[in-house]
Parts: sequence; C-alpha cells; structure tokens
Amino acid sequence: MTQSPAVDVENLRKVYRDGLLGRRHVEALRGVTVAVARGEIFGLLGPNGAGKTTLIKVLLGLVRASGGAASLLGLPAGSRRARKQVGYLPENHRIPRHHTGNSALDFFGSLSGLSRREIRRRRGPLLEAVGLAAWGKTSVKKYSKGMLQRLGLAQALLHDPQLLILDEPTDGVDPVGRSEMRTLLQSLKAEGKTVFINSHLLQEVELICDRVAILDRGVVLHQGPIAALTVRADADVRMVVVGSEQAVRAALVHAPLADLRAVDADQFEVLLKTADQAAIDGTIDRLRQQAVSLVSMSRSRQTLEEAFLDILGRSRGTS
Amino acid sequence: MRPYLAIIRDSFHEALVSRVLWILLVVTTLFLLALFPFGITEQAGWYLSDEDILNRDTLAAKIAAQGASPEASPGHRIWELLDESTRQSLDRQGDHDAGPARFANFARSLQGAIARRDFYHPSDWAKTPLPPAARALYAKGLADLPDDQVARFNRLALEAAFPEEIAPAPPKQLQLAYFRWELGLPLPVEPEQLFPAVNQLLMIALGILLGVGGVFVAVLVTASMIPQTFEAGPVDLLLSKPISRIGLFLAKFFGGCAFIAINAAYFICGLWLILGVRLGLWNDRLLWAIPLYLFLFAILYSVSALAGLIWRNAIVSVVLAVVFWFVCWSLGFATSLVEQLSLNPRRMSTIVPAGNTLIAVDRGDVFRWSDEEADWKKIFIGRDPPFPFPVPQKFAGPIYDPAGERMLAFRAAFPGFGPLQAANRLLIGKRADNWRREEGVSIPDGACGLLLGPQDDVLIASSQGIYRLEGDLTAKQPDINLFGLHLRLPERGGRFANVGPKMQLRPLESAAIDPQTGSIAIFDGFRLVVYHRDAKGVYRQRGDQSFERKQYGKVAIAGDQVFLALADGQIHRYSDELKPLDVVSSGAASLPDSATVSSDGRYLAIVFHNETLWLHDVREARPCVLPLVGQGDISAVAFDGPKMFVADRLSRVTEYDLDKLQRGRQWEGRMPLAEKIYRYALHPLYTVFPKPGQLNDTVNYLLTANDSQSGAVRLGDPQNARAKLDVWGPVWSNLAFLIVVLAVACGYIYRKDF
Repeated sequence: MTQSPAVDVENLRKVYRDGLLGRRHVEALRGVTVAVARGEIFGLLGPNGAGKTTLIKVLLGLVRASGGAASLLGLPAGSRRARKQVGYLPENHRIPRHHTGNSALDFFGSLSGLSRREIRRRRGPLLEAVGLAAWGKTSVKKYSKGMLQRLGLAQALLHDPQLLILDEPTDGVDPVGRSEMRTLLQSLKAEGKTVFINSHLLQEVELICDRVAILDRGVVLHQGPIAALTVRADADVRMVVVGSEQAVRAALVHAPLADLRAVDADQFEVLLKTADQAAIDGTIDRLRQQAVSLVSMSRSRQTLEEAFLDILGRSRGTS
Repeated sequence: MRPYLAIIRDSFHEALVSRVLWILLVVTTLFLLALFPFGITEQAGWYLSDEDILNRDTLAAKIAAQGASPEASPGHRIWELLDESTRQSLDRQGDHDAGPARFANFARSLQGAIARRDFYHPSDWAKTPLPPAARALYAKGLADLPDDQVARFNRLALEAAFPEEIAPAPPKQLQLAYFRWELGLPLPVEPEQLFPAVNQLLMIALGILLGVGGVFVAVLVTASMIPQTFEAGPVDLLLSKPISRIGLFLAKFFGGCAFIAINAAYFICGLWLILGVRLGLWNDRLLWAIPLYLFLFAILYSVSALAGLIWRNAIVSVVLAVVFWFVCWSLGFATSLVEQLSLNPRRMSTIVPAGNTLIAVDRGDVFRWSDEEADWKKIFIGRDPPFPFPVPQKFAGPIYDPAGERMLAFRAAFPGFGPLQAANRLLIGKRADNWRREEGVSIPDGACGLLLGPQDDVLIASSQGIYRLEGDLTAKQPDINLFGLHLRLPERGGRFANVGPKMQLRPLESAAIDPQTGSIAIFDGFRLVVYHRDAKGVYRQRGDQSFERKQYGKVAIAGDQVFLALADGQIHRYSDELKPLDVVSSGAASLPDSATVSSDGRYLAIVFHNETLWLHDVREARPCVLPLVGQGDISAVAFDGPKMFVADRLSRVTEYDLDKLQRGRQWEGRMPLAEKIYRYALHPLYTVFPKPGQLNDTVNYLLTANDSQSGAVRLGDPQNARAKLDVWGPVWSNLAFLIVVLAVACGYIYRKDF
C-alpha cells in the first residue's frame, strides 16, 4: 500500500472577506496545488503577501478554505487527528510570559495530550537538542528572540510529530543556532519525519530543503527539486582538456562550441553552449577518440535566490 | 479532558505568577483577620438603660430621700455611690425648670454604681428581701464571682429595692467586643434574635462586598484572560494543538470562574468560620453564597469574555462588562419607574358596564369609551380637595345604578385622623349630567365596598355592619369647617341606614354580594361572615368562619356557595352557612386582586396579582375554558348578563360571550408615548437582559430560608402583604442569558478565521 503524501493540497482557494458587510474580497489562495512527500524537507517560498502563511493556516485549520481540498498525512487538514501528528512553529509566536521553559513545555505537551510523565521524560533531551538545557527553569521573560524561537521549536517537537511545519524558523537565531537547527532538521529527516518550512532566507532553504514551491499572489509558480530549479536553461559546460591544438579542434568540429582558449601549452579551456546531455557525451567521446585528455568538466548553475527572482520576474512580466 | 484541564490549570498558573491571586488572597486574609477579633460575649444581664428606669422622678425622689436619711437603706447606699453632680441634680426636686435634662446622667451614674463590686452592703438591704436568683448568686460568694455576675447580682438587688421604678433585666445580655475591648453598649437583641439579626447584616454586607465590589474587582482581574489568549500569536500556537476552539474558549472561561471561585470560597469560608468560632453562629447556608456570587460574576464575565473574543482587548472587555452592568441596572430602574409612575396609575382596575356605555376606572380617574374619538374619555370630574401634591385616590366601586342611571362611588379618605379628616362622601355621577361628579351623603366608618342589591338598592359593607342607602342620596349635609377642623353634622336628607347586626370587625379585606339573593359575604382577614337577606331586606348573620392567623384574600358569593381566594392561589369553597366544602387550586400562586361573580351566579372570575384571570364555572364546578387574550397582563374583570369584560394591556377591554364562549368586541384607546416606549423598547429589553440585582432575593432566601419579603406593597392591595419572593426565577432567567451569551461566543469562535 502506498503512503499518502505528508501534505496534499489540491486546487486550494481562500477568499478573505472584509468591510462592514464582507463586501471587500481578498483572494489569498487561487487554486494552489502542492504535494509534499513523506520524509522530505520542503520549502515554501514567496514574497510578502504571497499566501504562504494563509496556506499553512488552512493546513492547520486556523483558517477555513473557500474551496479545494487539503490533507495532512492522509487526514483532512485542520482536523484534530491531523493536528495531533503535526508540530507547528508559527512566525512571531508568543509563549505566554508567565511560563518558564519547563512549564511552557508542560503546558503545550498537555495540550497535545501527553501525560505529565511523558512530558517530563522528553523535556530534558529536547531542551538539550535545541540548546536550552540550562534555561529550563528560567522565565521566558528573560529569553532572547533566538531562545524563544528554539523553545518554540522544542514545543513543536515535544509530541514527536510526523510532520513539522515551521514558519520562519531561523528568524532571530544566530548563525551557530541556524547551523544547529539545520543539523537537527537533517536528523529529523533521517528519522523519516517530514519538514515543511516557510522562510524568506533562501540561502537557508537552499542548504536544507529537498524540494521547494514558489508561491506568488496565491498561485504556485514553480514546484520541484532545488537542483532542477537552479539549473540554467542556457547553461554553459566548461571543460579543461590536454592535447594538441589540432586534435582538439578536430574533435570539436560538430560540437556546440562557444569558446576555445589556450590555457597553457597543450592545455585548453573549452566552453560549450548546450544543456543537451547527449551532445556533451558525444563531444567527450570524440575528444577521447582524438586522444585528448579531459582534465575537468563543470556545469554552471544559478543560486536559489537568482532562480527565485527569475521565476518571480518572469511571472510578473507575463501577468 | 487533559488539554482542557491544562488550560484551566494554566489560568491559575498565570494568576499566581502575575501575583493577582496572591494579592487578592492577601487582601482577603487581612480583611478576615481584621474581622476575627470581633466577638459577641454573653454576659449575665445587668446593663441599666434609660428605658429600664420606668419612673425617673419617683426613683430620684426615693433615692434622694433615703440618701438624706441616716438610716441604712438601698437608696442610702446608692446615694453614697453617686457622684456629686448627680446628687445635686436629684436634689432639685420640684424644680421643673430643670426639666428632663437633670436626668441626663442618672442612668449612667446608676450603671456605674451597680458595676462596682462593693455596691451591695447587706446592712443596707436588711429590710429588702432579695429574689431567689440574687440569693443563689450571693450564696456562691460575691468575691469569687466574675465582674458581670457581681453586676448582675447588684442589678437584681436594685430591682428588689425599687420594683416599681426599675424594669427587670433579661438574664443574659450580649456585648459586642473587639479583642478584649467592649464596643459600645450591650446589643439591643436577645441571644435568640442574634442569628436572624446577623443574617440580615450579613446579607447587606455580602450584597455590597461581593455583589458589587467583589464582582467588579473579579471582572477587572479576569478581563485580560480571554483577549490575551485569542490575540494573534498565542492563538496560532494553541489552535495548532489537537484541541477544539470551543473547548479552548470554555476552558479559559471556566478557568477564570474557577480562579474567582477560589477567592470567593476563601472569603466566604473564612467568614463562615469566623461567625462560627467567634459568635457560635454556624450557618451552613452561608456557603451557598459561593456558587451564587460566582454565578453573578459568570454573567458579567460572559459579556466580558464575548467582548474580549471579538475585540481582543482587555480594556474594551472591562468597559463593556461595566457598561452592560450599568445598562442592566438602568433598565430595571427605568422599567420600574415607568411602571410605577406612568403605567400602573393608568391600569384599569375596575370595569363598569353601564347600559350602552362602558366605564373603566384606573387608579385615580374614571373614563367612558367614546366611539367618536375611539378613545377613553375622562368623566366623573368634580372638585378635588386641595392637596399640596397630586396623590391619586383610588375609588371604592364604582357601581352603576341602572334605576337612577347614575354611577356611585366613594374614595378612601386622605390620610388624617380625628377631626382633621374630612367626612367620606358618596360620589354620584348621573348619565343625564354627563357623569359629572357630585358629592352626596356621608359614608359610614370602616366602609369597604359599594354593593348593588337585587332590587337595585345601594348597600355598603363596613367593618361595623351593613348599611343601605335611604332617602335622597344627594342631600348633603356639609361639614362645619372651624379653623380647619371638620365637624360632622347628622345627615338631613338621605343616609346610609344600618340594615343588619352591629359588628366589630377589623378593617375589611373584601366584601361581596350575591346578585341573585342579595346575601353578603365580608372578610376581615381573620373572620369570614355571611349575612342573609330576609324578605324585608334586613340582613342576619348566617355563618361565621374564623382563621387563627391573618389571611389575605378576596371573597365572592354565588347562590349557596361562598368562595374565598387566598394569597397562595387556593380557592376555598364554603356553603352559604360557611361550612367548608373543598379547596380548588387556581394554579396562580399569587395574591387575588378581585373576585367577581356573574349576575346569574354561574361564573366566578378571580384576577390575581400576577395579572392572570381564573374563570370558574360554578354550576359545573370546573374551570371555564375561554380564548382569553392578555393573560398575564389582566387587571380587571366585570360581568353584564351573558357578557364578560376583561381589561388588559393597561386600558384595553375585551368583551366575551359566555354563552358562545367566544371573544367579541375590543376597546383600546390610543397609546401614550410613555407606554409605547415601555412596550416596544423598555420591556422587551428588560425581558431579554439578565437581572443580576434580583439575585439578592435568592441570597436572602439561601441565607435565611425565608422566601417572602416584608413590606412589598402593591397598589390596589389594601394590606401590606408579605409578597412571596420568586427565589429561583432570577437564577433561571440569568442562567438562560449566560447560556445564550456563551453560545454566541462559541458560534463566533467556531466561524472565526485566526
């Protein structure tokens, strides 16, 4: 039996009504379709007002969808059974000020249905994992923003959820903390948990996510693996070869050659303008037939930020 | 349940950490600690008050005389112990200019004297025998007795010496004390009266401390709980957990209530303990105040919570709760004010079918229906006595005399006494004279009702007997007015002549006549008497029924049956000789306002104080079913042949055909502005809004187990009836409001996008 996706969103729509009689309409989600497989780290990207937080709130039942369907781990999104298996770290969350680290975990653990004994058993290791082991008995009033974020992550993990939804998880966290958080998320992935991250920090997302979806004005513009997203459509292939100039030129007669430059005596840099793997393979074969040695070969890529801006720009340019 | 219990626990955690709970508990503890030293000590009765000296002049004279004499005597001993100024004041016998002022310190000086351990010298009392109680104390040895016992002995010795002048002291007296300091004079209550007195005091104190102050503080300290929970940030985190939104709201709400419950329980249990330990008054009923005041808080808190949910702002929550409280109070006050000052005086209390004219009477005026103006038109206008302020005076009657085509009535005299009170006079309005009011003959003392006999003779039932109008009823003998004194002269022309045995009854509650036989039944609260009429029209007593305790009721007589409707809504049926037959329950559980019998004696109609009409078929001995309108707002009923007229909605009269048992014509005048505001705004709002103030009645009942209130006088009732309190009504109506507000809040939170 195949497992249902961790997150399955199909043609989801959300219209906010505003004004005295609800006459003003704001379409926050316009037919969003997203699927997140179990065990992957998924990033949801988008500019402000794209509908990212609305999507998460619909998934958690904080906001009611106007249309479409959504499920979490095969259960209706927002249902109590689904929420039982979800850990959520909201953006700008506020842990009530009367708590200490320990009592906050006691409270949120009880809300998740954990027994007191179970909470006590998990509390220590979890605070250790998020780097707050020494701060359990301290009032959250004395916590820095980064510490509150770590505590928020701890409460989200306390009931051992199958799906973790994190809204700007590294917001306010220092670089060391971010690195620790990445390690923690990687270990969760290794345990088979699914992580759904909503973040503006594209470098962070690029470092940790397997797949991403780009949302803008309530519409999914792109969805797929990061590797595929960052590959340029008109990508260059750069090779460094060693051989006689005559042999190199003979081998490149039919290749999509962009540039050929001598780097050293009998060493050349070859620049091919193609994304077609068969053409590249054929060129390598012909170089080898001419007894030209291949020293190195690399394909040039975009950063995630470049890809994001590119997609966004193209979308807005066409709309 | 675990998540919701965690939310309730968290409310306490929050209160503990924010120190609000601690502050409240500390303030309560300080208050209780301040109360704890209060105590009431029971002492031997010895205190001598001014009132205990029955005859100060004689006592002063006796003491002064015995003091002046060298012979040993009680007065001599007292004289020795009095201070110089008191002696001088007592010496001034016959000095009338000194007046009562010379006794100003007399009781206090005597009091000081009997408080002394050396007051009693056996030689001074050698000729005065001591009472047994004093002898018993003396036998124990005065030196070994505590101060109050010695003072008691001294008081008994004083009483024995001056039995005519000193009233006996009660064996025990109660003294209010704080720590060991006695506060003021001994309490003016006997030990057995202490319990109700303290309960009364407690009810007032709880009403102010908890009902107003406590609830306000509670709303203030809990106001932030709901808004803080549901503001953006915390609510996202909470609602992402596997809990229901409604459960979260209700758990927060009950968390706030539980927090207040702890404070209220602490305060009331502390009070209960102090009363028990310090005063020996273990009143377990006091503990009922905990849920009751908690309930009062919950009503206001529900409003605060709903506001907090919608606006997510603690200040708005508090302001709206206080405004709501004020609106509830204002609505109750305004409703009562409009009812008392504007509506009740206009409520038709009597209907008089006068041939083809319909006459109705409110508290102070008489009206006839005018078809041309489709409204009630004021009639029976005459010269009113020049009272310094307008006091509506209720008419007795009126009755319509078809033979003379006139209306007859009289009015209860304006409060006064003896010669200052003007004579009550019969008031007459003739149809031919456009019902203009004129004064006629004097009304006998103690008159209760004007009755129309079977031969259209005009009768009056009074506490002194039965009178019939004879002669020219308009032949008025004017009073002699001498410097404001009204001197009555014997009537010259007409008069009310006694036509039955002389009676000495208390002021009458009710009187009724059987239109067929002319038999009259009168009721004074303790006695029900029936007079039968002989062929000559003379009345003789036929039956007499006595009651041990005062009853409030209305009497009616129909053929061979007499009906007495009592305050509990029970109708006692008697034979014409007043032999009890049975008791019929009207189900009204209210005081009767009037009891009327149809002219053929078949139907008995009783209008109760709760403004319901109970119609009974006397012949069939069963309730009569009619499509009545206005039930619950009915104020008067009258019969005219086969027709019945019922007044409701202040001034609307509906006609019913009793043969066909169907409704007929309706007369309804124009509605004044005050009534429109009351009917379409005030009353609906008052009905919908909770009535937290009425919960005081429930507290009263819970504390004292007394479900009646004294002094509840309704206009139209001659007696100061002890109205039965609606003890649980406010609880149910307030509970309904609480449920509605919580349901609205739950509906709101269920639909809300966060």
